[in-house]
This record gives sequence, structure tokens and C-alpha cells, in this order.
Amino acid sequence: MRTDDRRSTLRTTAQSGVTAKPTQPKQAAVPTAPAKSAGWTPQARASSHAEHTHSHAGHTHELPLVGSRNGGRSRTPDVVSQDLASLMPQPARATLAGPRDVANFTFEKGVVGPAKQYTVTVGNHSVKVTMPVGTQQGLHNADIQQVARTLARMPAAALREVKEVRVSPQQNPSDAFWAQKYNRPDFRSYMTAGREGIVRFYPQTGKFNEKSAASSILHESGHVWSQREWGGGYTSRQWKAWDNAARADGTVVSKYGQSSLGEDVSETTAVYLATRGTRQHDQYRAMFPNRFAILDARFGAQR
Amino acid sequence: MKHPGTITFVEKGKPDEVMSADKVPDSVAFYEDVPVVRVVSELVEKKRIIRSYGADGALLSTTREG
Repeated sequence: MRTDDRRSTLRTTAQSGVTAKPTQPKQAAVPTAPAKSAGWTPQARASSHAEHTHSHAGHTHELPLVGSRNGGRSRTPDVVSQDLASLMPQPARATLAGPRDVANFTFEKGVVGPAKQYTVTVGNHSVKVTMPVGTQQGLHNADIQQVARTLARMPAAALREVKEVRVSPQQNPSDAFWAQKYNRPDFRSYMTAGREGIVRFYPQTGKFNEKSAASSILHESGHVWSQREWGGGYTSRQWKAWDNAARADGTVVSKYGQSSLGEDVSETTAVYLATRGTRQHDQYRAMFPNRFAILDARFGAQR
Repeated sequence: MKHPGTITFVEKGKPDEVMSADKVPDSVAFYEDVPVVRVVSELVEKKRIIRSYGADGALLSTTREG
């Protein structure tokens, strides 16, 4: 098996994009086998009337909406974490090491092929990124620079939940089932995220959207840490404390956040992390003081 | 790991559907060899988000439609 390990550096900035500086190749061990609403600006507690149903931990209660008031109508974003890209700090600096060739990499069960592996480091966190050699005909994949820029966009505390990124050479093997199950013949996954911090991107007919990808990973990172530390099933004392905090706040972060306690945590965490260090953060804190207090305890001084 | 047998598909506004695990692809029935027993799907901004849960109620993986 041929081993090719080159080191290069990336600097990601809004102005310059990515520049790579390859250095001398060196030998490295190769593994033997596989391995969200547009224009929504936070306002002070915008509504005091209950319009939506909020369901937490198996019971339902009414919560007022937050968000801007347009023409006297309150509005709650569908998915707040999809809208946070514009609030996130400027992309950080990313360092790229690799690639290292792998003859037969298991992207997931049943999807094996040649790959190039990189290590993307942002701050003091490194993520293993596996890129395919070739992509399903007619489809487009993210390239390594786009993946690196996506990771560099993320708040550091959220990025820490990402252990590995795999860019698949072909469509998600489950797509055919999802297409049939949900009566969407053209169903195509663009991303999956697993509890252990593995993110997979799949080839698409259109271009890879770095901001959207960063926002999605930001949201999913909220599930990763909360499930790991608070457990599944929303029954632990931490989940109950969050439920109580949400009730005390009396506000919802987004419509999607209303779908479950877990989504509320993920959406609120996304807002919390994406806006830290910005003036919007205090506005959000005014809307979600009790939940932000829990996140203060969780994330402390982490950036 | 052996699958306990069924997967419950949950979708807002629709009755839950229970399917035998052997009637769905392994990639749906298992996540990294951990059995999936509940799948919750929702349309968000016209795109589907699919969440797969294990027997202990833990979220195993999320699939986002492109």
C-alpha cells in the first residue's frame, strides 16, 4: 500500500479563502482496515401570549413565542440554527495535514473504496477527514478545502464534538428506503451525524454549502454532548432541569426546538455558542436566561 | 448485535408505523451495529430530518435531506 503524507497549512478567512503550503512528504502509518429564519433578529421578549404548543418530556404546555413582531404578528423561526451562520464569528485558522492514501477505506458498512485521509486542526482540536478518490458519476462532493473551511466556521466548543468527517463517494445506502418510506422519489441525504461525533457528507447534484453545513453540524453537536452527558430518553435530572428552565423562561427558540426537549437543547445551544462574544448574545440571554445559565455552567469559559 | 425485532416510525401528524426490522435495510435497522428501534422524521423548511434512536432512547444518528 502506498503511503503519501504531505503537510500543508490552510488559512481560512472571509477574504482570502484557503491557501495551502505543502511541505516535504513523510512516511506515516496507514490503518490496515477501515475504519436555521431569514431576517430573524432577536428582540427582547417579544410576545407574552401563548400561541404554540410546547411538548417536553412527554407532557405538553403552552409557551409564548419569541422573535420579531411584524405587523403585530409574532414570528418564530422554523430552525434557528440554520440562520446562525451569519452571526458566527469569522472563520478561524485551519491547519491541514495530509493526505495519506488508504487503499480500501470503509466509509460505512457496504461502502468501501480508495480514500485520502487528512487531519484538519482548528485551534487545538483536530478532526480526521476522509475524502473519496472519485465520486458517483454526475454528482458533486465537498472538497477538502470546503470541509476545512466548514469546520473552521464552527464555534470551538461545538467543533470539539466532531471527531471525524467522512465524505462518501456515493449516495447514502439508506436513501432508497427513505425515498420510498416518505414518498420522496428524489430523496438524497446530504449529511448524517452520529452520536460518536462522526459526520458524513454525501454527494449532491448541487454545490456544497459551507455555511449550511456548519450550521447543521453546530445543531447536531448539541445532541452529541447533551446525549452523552445527560443520557437518552430525556428522563435524567439534567433533562428535567432543562425542562424547568424552559418553562421558567417561557420562550421558544424555534419551531423545530418545540418538537422535543432534545431539539430545544440543540437549538438553544446553537444560538448560545454561535453568538458568544457578540452583542446579540445578550439579547438572546434576555430571552432564555435560565437555559443560558445551564449552558454557562456547561461551557464555562470555553470558546 | 441482535435486533430486538421492530422499528417504530414516527411522523408528525401521522399514526406511528411499526415495521419488522428484517423488512428494512441494515443501514436503517442498525447504526454502527447498534439496533435502531425508533425513527422520528419531520419536514423542516421542506427538507426531511430523520432521527434514529436506540433501545435506551438515545439518539444514535441524524440524517438530513439535501
